[in-house]
Amino acid sequence: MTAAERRAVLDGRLEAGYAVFDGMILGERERAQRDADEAGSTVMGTGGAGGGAGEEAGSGEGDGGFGDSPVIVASNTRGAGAGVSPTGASDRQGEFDNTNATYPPPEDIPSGDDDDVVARQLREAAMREPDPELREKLWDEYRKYTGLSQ
Amino acid sequence: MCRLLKPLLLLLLTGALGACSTQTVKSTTVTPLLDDTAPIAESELLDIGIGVFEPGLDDIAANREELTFADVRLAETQYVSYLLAQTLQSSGDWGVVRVVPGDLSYYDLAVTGMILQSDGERMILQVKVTDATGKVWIDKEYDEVVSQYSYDPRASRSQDSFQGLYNKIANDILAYRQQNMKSEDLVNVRTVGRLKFASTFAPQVFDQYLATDKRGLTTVTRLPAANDPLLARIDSIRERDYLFVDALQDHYGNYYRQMAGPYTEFRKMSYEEVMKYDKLRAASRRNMVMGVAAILGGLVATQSSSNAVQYSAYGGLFGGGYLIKDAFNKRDEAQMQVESLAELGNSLEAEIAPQTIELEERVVTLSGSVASQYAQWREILADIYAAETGASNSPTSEPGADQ
Repeated sequence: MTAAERRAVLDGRLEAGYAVFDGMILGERERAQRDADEAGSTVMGTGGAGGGAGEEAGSGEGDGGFGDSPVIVASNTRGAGAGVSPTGASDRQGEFDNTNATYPPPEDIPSGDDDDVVARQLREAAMREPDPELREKLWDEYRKYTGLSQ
Repeated sequence: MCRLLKPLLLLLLTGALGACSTQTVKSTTVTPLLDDTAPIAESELLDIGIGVFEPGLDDIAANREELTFADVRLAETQYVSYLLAQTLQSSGDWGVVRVVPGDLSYYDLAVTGMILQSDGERMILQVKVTDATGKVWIDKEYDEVVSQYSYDPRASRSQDSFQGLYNKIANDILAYRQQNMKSEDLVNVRTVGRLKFASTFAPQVFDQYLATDKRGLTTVTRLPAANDPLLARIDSIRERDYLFVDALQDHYGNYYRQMAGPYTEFRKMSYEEVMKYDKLRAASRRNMVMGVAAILGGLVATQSSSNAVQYSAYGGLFGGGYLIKDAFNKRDEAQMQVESLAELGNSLEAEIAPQTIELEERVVTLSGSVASQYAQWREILADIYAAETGASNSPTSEPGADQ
């Protein structure tokens, strides 16, 4: 394997890790939103449509008051943003190691018997992902990583 | 005996008068939150990481130990940190402001602190602000005493009773930036923060761009290429680090909102109890001093040859005895206030303890998952670096192999 090929493979692993990571974070924010809903409040700024810009609800005019549900949001001005908030019901508890497969893979996805650890992580993340858009993105990463899309 | 007693009496009376003259000024106005009127370039906007404050349980003043409840104080560490983040963010003077449970060293500005005192009446915070280069902006105590008005529902104050204290901290940080940091300084801080973060993922590459002197101040020795592919990869990781911390903010925010109601109620009731406690303790001390003084004075007077003075001496002895008895009574009453406070504290502890545990578990679980992922990325980056430089020091196996 040449250095360039090796680097490409490693970049693929990095990308696959990003996809898994993003899925985990979205799951976590979905969980937080659910907790907030149950508590009768709203977590402001979660799950905004990609690349939120550090919104703030409080004006900070003079007294710096926030009301009962102060402001903020941590979506960053420089970061990637939270992407699209997952929709659709899910009983996922937000745990990263939840292995309950819920959504079957698309038809073009093979059995995965010879998946390596990254491919397996991607497959599991995609099968657990309730948001169709993000699920498809994860499958695309899987295809890219395993060479199916070539 | 008289020679000895007179100075002693004088000393006691001085002490008693001193106790009577103690005065606390309470603020009924809230320090306004200032914002920078001058626009600031995006490249100069500093992100702020706020560490969860230390509970300061080992540094509680002796006269406040009985009034401090460990679980409430631990819950306050999250509350205070989150509220300070909210305050700084709402000023509009900064980039993003987040509560960060872990390493703050690569944040443009790191705010750490400790709660030294917190009851319904008074809050004292020790706050330290350091930028990514290691320069300390602020290291001081913030002290605020609030009035009963802060808890008056007719005032319909929707903000925290100690909002003024958070505003003071935010204003001081802003003032430091305005007075001491030029545009190039701000850009430099951001560059150092970026390279420090990169260095945590690929130290073999990025350590060379930074130098730290004996005082702990970090400078940029040279810059990586603008299109450095490894730095671009790490920037992608940093974006994910932002997302991770954002997810944590959701949990901190939920916790804050759940805690705010019962905590405010606790502080309101605590305010009244603490006031009574302080008054009773002060009265007890005063009566004890005056009682002892009266008895000593009476003893001196009994030596007099004058009958009139001797009669008044007996009066002084009886009066002193009464004052000392009253001092003990007041001390007992103060102890009852402590018990009353303990009931309030226990009630709040029972209410918020489950949420505190849940929050801590979420933070630990998520941080653990993220740390595991970061470890994988570090290995991959090391492999990429090895592939690019032809080195054979890869710490990992072939790409794609099971780990």
